[in-house]
Amino acid sequence: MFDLNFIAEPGIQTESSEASWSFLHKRKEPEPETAPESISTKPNRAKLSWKYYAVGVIAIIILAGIGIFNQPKPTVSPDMVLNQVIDLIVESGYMKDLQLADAYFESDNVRVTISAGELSSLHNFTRGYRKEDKIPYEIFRRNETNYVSLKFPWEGDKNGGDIKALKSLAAKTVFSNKININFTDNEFELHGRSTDIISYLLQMADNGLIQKFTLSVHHLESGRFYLKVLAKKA
Amino acid sequence: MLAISQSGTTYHYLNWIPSERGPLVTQHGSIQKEVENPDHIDQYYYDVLDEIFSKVDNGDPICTFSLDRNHVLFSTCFAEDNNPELIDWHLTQALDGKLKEVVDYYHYPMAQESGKMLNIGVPKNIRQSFQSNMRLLKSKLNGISVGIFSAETGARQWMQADKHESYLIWKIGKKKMDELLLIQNGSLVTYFSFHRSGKKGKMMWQFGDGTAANLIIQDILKVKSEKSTKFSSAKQVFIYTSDGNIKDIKFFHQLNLENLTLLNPLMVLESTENEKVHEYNTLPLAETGNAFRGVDV
Repeated sequence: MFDLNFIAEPGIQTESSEASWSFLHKRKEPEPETAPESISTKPNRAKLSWKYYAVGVIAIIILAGIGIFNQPKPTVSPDMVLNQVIDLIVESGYMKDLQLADAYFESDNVRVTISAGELSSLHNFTRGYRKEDKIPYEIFRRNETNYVSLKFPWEGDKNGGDIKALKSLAAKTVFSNKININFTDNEFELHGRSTDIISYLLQMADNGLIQKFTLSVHHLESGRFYLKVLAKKA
Repeated sequence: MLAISQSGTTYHYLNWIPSERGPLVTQHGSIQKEVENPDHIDQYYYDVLDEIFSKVDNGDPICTFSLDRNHVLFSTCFAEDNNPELIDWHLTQALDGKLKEVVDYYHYPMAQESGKMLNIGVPKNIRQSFQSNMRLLKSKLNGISVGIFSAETGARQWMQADKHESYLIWKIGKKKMDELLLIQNGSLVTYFSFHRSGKKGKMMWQFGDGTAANLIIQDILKVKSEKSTKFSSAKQVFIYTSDGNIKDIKFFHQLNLENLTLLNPLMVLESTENEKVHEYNTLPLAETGNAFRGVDV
């Protein structure tokens, strides 16, 4: 007797499928490294011998020297950046005030803009983990709406990719019943719900295509999302 | 491993861990969640999964899900010699093009003599919502099944149902609207619904071998009227309910039929708690069976 598993690819099922969807690795992703806290407990200096005190001073000087001459560059992890963008799209559906406005995947950076009715929402947002990621951001106000624009590091392939790969990927992706796909020789457009866009971005990542293209995600006023992919790099 | 099954707006869950003596049940229970907005099915399932995850003390949330049958579509099509091209042609004829845009179809072989395949249509938005919710909850989903088919997997794993030449899974439904699944020599022979009312009852819908389904109905009528003490249309019958229709289950169980068994995983699996298991109240856990696929019990 067959076993059902609707995670498997649809179609004729000849054998039991072991297919699964796993995002457990997201739990194990290391927390963003935070700058070392300044000394949080004040030891009783009177009890410290001068030797320990001298060693402490030298260690601080060495660490300060390392800090000055070896400024760490933000590391480019496409998975981390993509996860951040997808989380923002997902959070747009659940948070009342914060909304993803758009995200541009360019050759050397991903620029994500988030809008909020209340400025305090953006302050809380940037005070949280985003700030600790050392991701540069700017806050601005336009037409009575507040925005924060975050710039993530990214490494795109400057040669661009083949639009045919995007078309065949769309055929393999599980979409909702409310999508609209248009494409030309150089452009691929997908209108749909947030889950449609997420599914497609994940498929692009799984198939090693996400860094080949210049793409942008826009949150429309209707609440729907719009993904535009350009075959050639701008 | 967390096994969840859906019955209307009630969700039953059973959490187990592997042990040297087989699966060990650590927790079980159910929650109720009404659908507030059918357009936001992904949010609805998110709330369900999040609530159950918070109730269960698990390290990494790894789960399986069994959908309510009302969320999927069933049909059959011809499948001579399992020829994929011919099957594709039949599917093009049988399935609506518009429907295929929103529904993913799965096709399973039925008993060879029938020359048919069982088609199960799963709405794309349901599959998609589970995928995005797993991402959101940083979890793993090991399988999605549906209703009585999940219970059938359970019957094989918990009670070695497939050792019998033939076996019947009998789901007692609300308002005497039952569902039945007959397996013979490891193949699906018939899947049907029977309204167990009046003297003769009524077949509501049926897939596969209609003659076999009619024999089962005759069997049910005989045992119900106490004219027979065993089922003859199948070697073994596994009975359960997920709608809380305990009165009817009790009636058939207390007839002490020779080849009728309650399909209750808690009667077979060991538990960390020395609780007294209520054999009828916990029957809805039968549909968590797909979690035990490939597991030695």
